[in-house]
Amino acid sequence: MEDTVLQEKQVFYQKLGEITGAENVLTGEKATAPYTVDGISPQAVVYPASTGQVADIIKAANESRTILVPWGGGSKQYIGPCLEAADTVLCLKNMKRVVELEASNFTTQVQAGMVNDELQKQLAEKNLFFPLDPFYIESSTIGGEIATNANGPRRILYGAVRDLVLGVTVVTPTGDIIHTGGKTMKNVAGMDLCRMYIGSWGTLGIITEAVLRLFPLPEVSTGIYITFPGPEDAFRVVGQLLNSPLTPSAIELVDSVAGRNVAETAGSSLSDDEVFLIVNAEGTKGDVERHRKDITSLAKANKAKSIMTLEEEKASGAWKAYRGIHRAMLGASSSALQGKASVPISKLGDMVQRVKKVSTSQGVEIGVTAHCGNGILYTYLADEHEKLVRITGELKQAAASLGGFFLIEVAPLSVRKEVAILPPRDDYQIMRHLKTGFDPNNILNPGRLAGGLH
Amino acid sequence: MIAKSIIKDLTKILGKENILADLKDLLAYSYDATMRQEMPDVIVFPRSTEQVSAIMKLAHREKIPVVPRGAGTNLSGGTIPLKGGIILETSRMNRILEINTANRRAVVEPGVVNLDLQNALAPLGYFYPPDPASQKSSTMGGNIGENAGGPMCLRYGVTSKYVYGMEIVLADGEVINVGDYVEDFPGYDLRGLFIGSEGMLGVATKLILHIIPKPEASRTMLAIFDRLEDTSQAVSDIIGAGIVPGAIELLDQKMCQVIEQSVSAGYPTDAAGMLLIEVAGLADTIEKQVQEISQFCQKNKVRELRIAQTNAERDALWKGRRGAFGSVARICPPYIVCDGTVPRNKLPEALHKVGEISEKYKVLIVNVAHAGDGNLHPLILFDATNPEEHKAAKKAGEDILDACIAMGGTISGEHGIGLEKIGAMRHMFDPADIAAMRKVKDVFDPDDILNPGKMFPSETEAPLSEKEGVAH
Amino acid sequence: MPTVAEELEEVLKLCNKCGLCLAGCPIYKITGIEWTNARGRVALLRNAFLDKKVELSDLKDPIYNCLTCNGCTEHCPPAVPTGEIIFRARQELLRQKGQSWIQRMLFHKLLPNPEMLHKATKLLRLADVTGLRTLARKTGLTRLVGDAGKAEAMVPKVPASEGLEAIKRMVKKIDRPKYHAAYFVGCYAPNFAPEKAAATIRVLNKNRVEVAVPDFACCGLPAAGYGDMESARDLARKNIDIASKMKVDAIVTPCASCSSFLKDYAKLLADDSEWAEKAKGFAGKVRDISEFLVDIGLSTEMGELKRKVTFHDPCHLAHHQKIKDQPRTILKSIPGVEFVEMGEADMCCGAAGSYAFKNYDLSQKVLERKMGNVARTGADTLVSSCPACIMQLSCGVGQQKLPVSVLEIVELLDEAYRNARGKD
Repeated sequence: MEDTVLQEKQVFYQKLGEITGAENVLTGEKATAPYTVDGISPQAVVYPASTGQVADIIKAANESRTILVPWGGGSKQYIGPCLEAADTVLCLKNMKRVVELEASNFTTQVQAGMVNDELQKQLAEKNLFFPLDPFYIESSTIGGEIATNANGPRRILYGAVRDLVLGVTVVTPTGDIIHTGGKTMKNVAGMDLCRMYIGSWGTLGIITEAVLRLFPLPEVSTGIYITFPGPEDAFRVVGQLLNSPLTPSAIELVDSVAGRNVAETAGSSLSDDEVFLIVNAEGTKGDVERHRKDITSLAKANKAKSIMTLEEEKASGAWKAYRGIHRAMLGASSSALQGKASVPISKLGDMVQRVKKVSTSQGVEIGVTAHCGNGILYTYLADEHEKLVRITGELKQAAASLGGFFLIEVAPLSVRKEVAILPPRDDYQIMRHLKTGFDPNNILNPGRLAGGLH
Repeated sequence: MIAKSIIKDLTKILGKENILADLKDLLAYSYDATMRQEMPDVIVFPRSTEQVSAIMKLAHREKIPVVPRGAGTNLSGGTIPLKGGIILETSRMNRILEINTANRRAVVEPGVVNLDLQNALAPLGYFYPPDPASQKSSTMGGNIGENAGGPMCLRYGVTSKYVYGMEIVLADGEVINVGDYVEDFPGYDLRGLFIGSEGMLGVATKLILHIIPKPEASRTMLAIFDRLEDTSQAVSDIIGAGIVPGAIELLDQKMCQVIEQSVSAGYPTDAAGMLLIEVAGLADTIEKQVQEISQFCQKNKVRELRIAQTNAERDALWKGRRGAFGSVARICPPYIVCDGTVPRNKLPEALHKVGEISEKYKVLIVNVAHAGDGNLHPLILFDATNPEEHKAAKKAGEDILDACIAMGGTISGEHGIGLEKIGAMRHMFDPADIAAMRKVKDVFDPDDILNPGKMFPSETEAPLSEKEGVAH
Repeated sequence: MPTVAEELEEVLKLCNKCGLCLAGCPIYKITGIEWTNARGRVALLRNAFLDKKVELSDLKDPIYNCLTCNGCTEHCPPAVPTGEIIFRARQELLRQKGQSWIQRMLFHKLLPNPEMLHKATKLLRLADVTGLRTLARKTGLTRLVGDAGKAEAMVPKVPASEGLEAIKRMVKKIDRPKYHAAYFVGCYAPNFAPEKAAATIRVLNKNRVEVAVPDFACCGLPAAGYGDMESARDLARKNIDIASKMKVDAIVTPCASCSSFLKDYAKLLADDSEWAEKAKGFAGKVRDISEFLVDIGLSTEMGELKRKVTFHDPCHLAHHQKIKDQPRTILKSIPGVEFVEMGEADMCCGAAGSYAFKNYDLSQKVLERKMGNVARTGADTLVSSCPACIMQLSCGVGQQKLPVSVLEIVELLDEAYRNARGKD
């Protein structure tokens, strides 16, 4: 029995070589070790160069029941429900061209393996940018960001992935190439499959190309770094800011635990309960100046301990430090856990308080950052298994009691295998049906997403 | 004809004052704004999710088609009961359940009229951006079914950006909650699938909407041009410079004349093209936006620029635009309205193409467009009593859609496919694309009882739009 | 002779089913039923008259539960005249069914003859004074006649009055009149509210208008509303004839329903070769009181009135005659008055003439919505300009126990003018 399976696999690997050229198929531990996920190492890694090749690979995988793991930059492979199995990683890093750039339509069509940062560099030459800024744009690919619905601080002004992607080309788990959406801002022809693929974690198909909505590079940008004695003061300002016609491009909160590096870089320091509120504004000179003025007044009227407006150079340094928090907090320990809470916007302050309470009662330091305009909060902590399990339970309860949810993103494998990663919902069954409908042989990322929907 | 036992069962669920089945009732629910006509078997007016669920359970058991309906103002045949059955009318589920500006959310029942929601939000300084022309009558449920657009979508985005969650009753009566009140819900974006699904995946019974503060300042401008080419080029230039006004609407001469006959909006009747532009932003910087836009208009030989000075003037300008389709009816009640959309830098080319097609088929075409989005609305007029003209008008419409596809656009920017554009689906999508859409439909509604016969070209029959069936 | 179908074909086909009319229909907002809005009513009448898909007699509700407020036409880009279409349909239905004896008595005997009408209301007063009317109401006897019985409660107590004769006696010559006007008194004031007629005459006199009160009969709107166009035309000819014997600058009335219908006399008699011209001349002279006063220049010799005032637009004023600004101009010019605009001010109050007598529940629900809007203004004074509206609004205010006085605009003006004289 095992021999036939092995034989089938050998046939498959050979087929891979025929499809992409043997030099684009890697086997052996050394090659595949970097693609280990949830303790599972694949047998092979293949690097297709076109949508057609991806389709052929998937068809072959279906025939031989080979399990494929789509791969972009790999920055989110360790997030979410555990992978059940993996035979071959299908890595899109060779599919990184700009297929079409229509500057006057403010759209571009790119291959999914294009690294976000690299795209931004190319767009900047035409004075354009793509306002998606999740954590690891230096390594994450457009395809991966779309598949994982990876958003960043700019979402408050420009919208989330679902508002910035106009269409995707996808190879379905049965090997069909489908085109969803288009390149117009408005498109209601047929079912909105593009939206379905956003955040589908490589379980309904592999995204090979995407049409993205672009914006002109802002004339000016500024960052206002405000220190508050405590989160209540910061959230009071946030509430007033959100209730105004101002349109900041980021409203980020950082506590003293998570914010050590940021504080230093910004030329300040945070102690105990103090928090940083970082408000970015970008656009025309006049608009940005108005934002700077109003936000500074707001801050002053609400007990701000220090207010720093950073332009260009200094701003990008401090901002970089802020964006480095994720890596810094998780890199510090192998028993690190990062969770995400999503609560009603007006309850974010309460959630921060709850997190602090849990931290105190459990005697564990928990760092906090938040997208204040979206009700989203990230928690960072590190401890041994039992404690992590207990704490995540409490954080889930806290979020639920505020009308939201808490889910686990990064965690030691033991924790991810034990606790429920995703919150309970009543539409999981339909989602499972969707998965079965599109991937009857369960060959794409089994266990991911749909596998964790209980 | 529907069995008496079904009516009895429905009466048990709803009470007899919430069911209609006389001839006059069936006639009244056999049409929508497209003037197609097909008779339903019964109309029900549920008042709660429980009732909707009970209705669907019954329909599922008996395999009776169900067509969800709001105000029936859609322009694609979305609420025509092609296969008879139950019209599930949401007009009595019309409460605003919650408005919470601190959370930026409003929760409403599907029968709430778009404008009623806006009027409830306005005193709080908030608004819900998608503003279809039908907003004073169309319902939120209907807006979501079609992923409605509207002029403000240029700056703010379409319906799918502003619907965060929904309570849905599925084809078998099960009640689920897709999306969420909070952001980044886990799992597949069923919410996104549902928006624009034209009543074919389920019935929405509660909608969680995203609301935002109104802009601090706005200005409404009219830019009047002597050539249509200059008009559309001005739009391209404005958008190309990265300026994003609240709205840019383009109307051609004939359209302005038609509107002025019905509504005194103050439109010129002797200009080849006109732009209605709404600028929105902060008070200190709005004048600069107005200036920049004016400069682009001047670059394109604008004849005259007018800026509305009072709220009354502004309202009059918009009343004209919103009454456009209806005004056309005064001179020519049946008309084909196209919804083709092109990438916005192709707008001049698209309008030129429409002109060519008009000449080719010798039909009068008047134009109004959400120009900043490239969303055209060529209205093709024809004499309903002349079958030749009718045929020519239809062909013209098909050619326009084909042209839009060829320019990298889409066959529907905001009105939906419904019945009207089924034929065009094959021109725009490959069989694999349509198969994938059908798969989604299959997952939600394997028995095909929800709004059957819409959106997808039948696999065996000839496309419906080719059949004669227009009611005049 | 064109058939009804031929007459109506063009306007019936004018509707492109855009559905914007739904925004202006009070009945649709209550029921949510398609055939209670203009689009639905027009579609069904089209199905009946043009497509022969349904019998007119099967469409009684769509034909009769329309308020004919014309709120729909306000929103309709091609301006489909739904109110007129409904009137024509009622006329046709009446022709098919025939009139009931009550209708015959009302339209052929009472309304054309002010003296007869006055005698009939005297009977009602007798019922009032003897307590018979209250008894009938309390014992549920009135409910035996269905909606009409329920609506009876809205009709106020009949005061002691001497009808039109009494009002004629209120007329007096004034010093150096600037204008001469014929006061179209209507059916309500002489029988139910002679003091309002007195107020009207005083206000006109104050504005240098000398008033004459001829023997005008009912304007004809009630008959037309039921579909009895013949009676309406008879009344029109009678009134035109009376006016032709007078030399006046205007024919003025504070009743919006009357002024609206009187202005339509030209249309009503357009096919009558003998009367068409005279009807045009007559209609050209008709003025609503607010319209007239603002036109001639309102006297501002007013005393102060400390009132918080809101205005309900009668349908026949706002939708039929497009008169909206003038009443507001008048109210805002009274010193001491704080004017506050109510939401949906121009939405029907549900009176619609005798609508409540056949559609009591719907009328009440429309009234409820209006009362909500009134209450939200915090006003202490609700002003309107049509007796039917005033009756309905008074009823509503009483039901909801709102601390609001309901007044005709002429009454408020009269009060303001008298306050000034009090100062001297």
